[in-house]
Amino acid sequence: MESPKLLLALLLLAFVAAALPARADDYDFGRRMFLNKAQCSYCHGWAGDGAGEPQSSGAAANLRITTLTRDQLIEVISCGIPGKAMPHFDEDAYTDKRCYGVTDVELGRDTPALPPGSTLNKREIAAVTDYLLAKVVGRGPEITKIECEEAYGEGARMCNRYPAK
Amino acid sequence: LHSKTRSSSAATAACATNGEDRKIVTHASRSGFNHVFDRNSGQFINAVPYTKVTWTKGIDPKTGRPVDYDPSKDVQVYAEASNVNNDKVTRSVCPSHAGGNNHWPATYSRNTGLLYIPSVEGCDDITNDHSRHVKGKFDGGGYVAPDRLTGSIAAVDPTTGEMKMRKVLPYSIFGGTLSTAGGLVMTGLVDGTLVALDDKTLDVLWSLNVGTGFNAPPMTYSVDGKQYVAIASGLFRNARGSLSKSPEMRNLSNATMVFVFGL
Repeated sequence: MESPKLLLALLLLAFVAAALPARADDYDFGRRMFLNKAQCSYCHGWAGDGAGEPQSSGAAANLRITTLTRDQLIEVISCGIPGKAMPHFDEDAYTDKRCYGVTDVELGRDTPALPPGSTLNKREIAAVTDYLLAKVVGRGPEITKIECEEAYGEGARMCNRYPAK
Repeated sequence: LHSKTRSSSAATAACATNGEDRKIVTHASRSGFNHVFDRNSGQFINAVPYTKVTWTKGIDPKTGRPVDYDPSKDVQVYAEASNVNNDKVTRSVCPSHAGGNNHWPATYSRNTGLLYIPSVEGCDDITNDHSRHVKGKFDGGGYVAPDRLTGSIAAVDPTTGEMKMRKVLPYSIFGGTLSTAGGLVMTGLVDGTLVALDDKTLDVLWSLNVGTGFNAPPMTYSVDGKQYVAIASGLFRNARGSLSKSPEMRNLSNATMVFVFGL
């Protein structure tokens, strides 16, 4: 009786393992913020090269070549960029002087917009920043299949369009 | 900008134009104009702006094309010329990229003979930068919606192309309009307000905010002689995005519900 049970357990385990995305790594939480919750990829592109969806605002920064430091990235994600399409992901930005020392009253119509998806808390902003620094910043202009499968899982069909290396 | 897609609503009706009974089709375009065509022949009948339009000086009443349209050019230069200038100068162009009207339906009321067009009110600041274009990718500059977006309902006579009335509402409309034989025009706003307007005056007769946004049109039905109005809530990305300059809406919940009201 024991071996069929064991076999069943092994089969179940194999099934669960196959269903899990192959991209589980230390940056999975930050990656989920980038691709899903904050929808950064809608404007910046999944690879961060600034090529977003055709309906997006356009003119998004190429994060692969950014020279911003960790603190600067956190500031731009939290506060957005006044007068530009980059929204503020800190829900309370511009209600006080935490962002660039100015409020929405002082900035007027140049106040960055709320994100169309969700705002992020401090831990989430730190996670997406660390994901960017580890997986996107400095990655170079060529987007590879390996990089795509890191983001979308091994065998993802959309990754076939990219060169292997 | 507005020709990226022409996903706008269309309504059909049988009307008398110039004393002649014709079957027509109307198209409240993203461009900010409502166009009316003969449903059988496709012949252009009239066009009228139902919201603020700056991208062209107007529509040629004979051809239905923009007056600044030049058939000898592959790429058109319209009034604001934001589409071709590569000078990185920022220009304001109305309506915004969302329209005007977009894919959500206008309603034709047999009660009044008018078309009620729901709209997003606002403009974009567009900055072209062709140096950003890389083959195979979508870029070439960008836009910012610098101001709060609001909504409106325009009542247009499709037989003459005349705008009879217009009602500005405090938030965008990303769902359609409904007209009833009882004289109501109803719509849902992205802030979660369902409004019922008088079809003859566009006065607000009744409104209720349910606390979660609408981007679906209301619909109506009757059971055992009692009439109901139903509407689904929950905002998709771009409808939520239309609130991005409305900071008081930052905590708006996004519940997917169906609300039903008895008339």
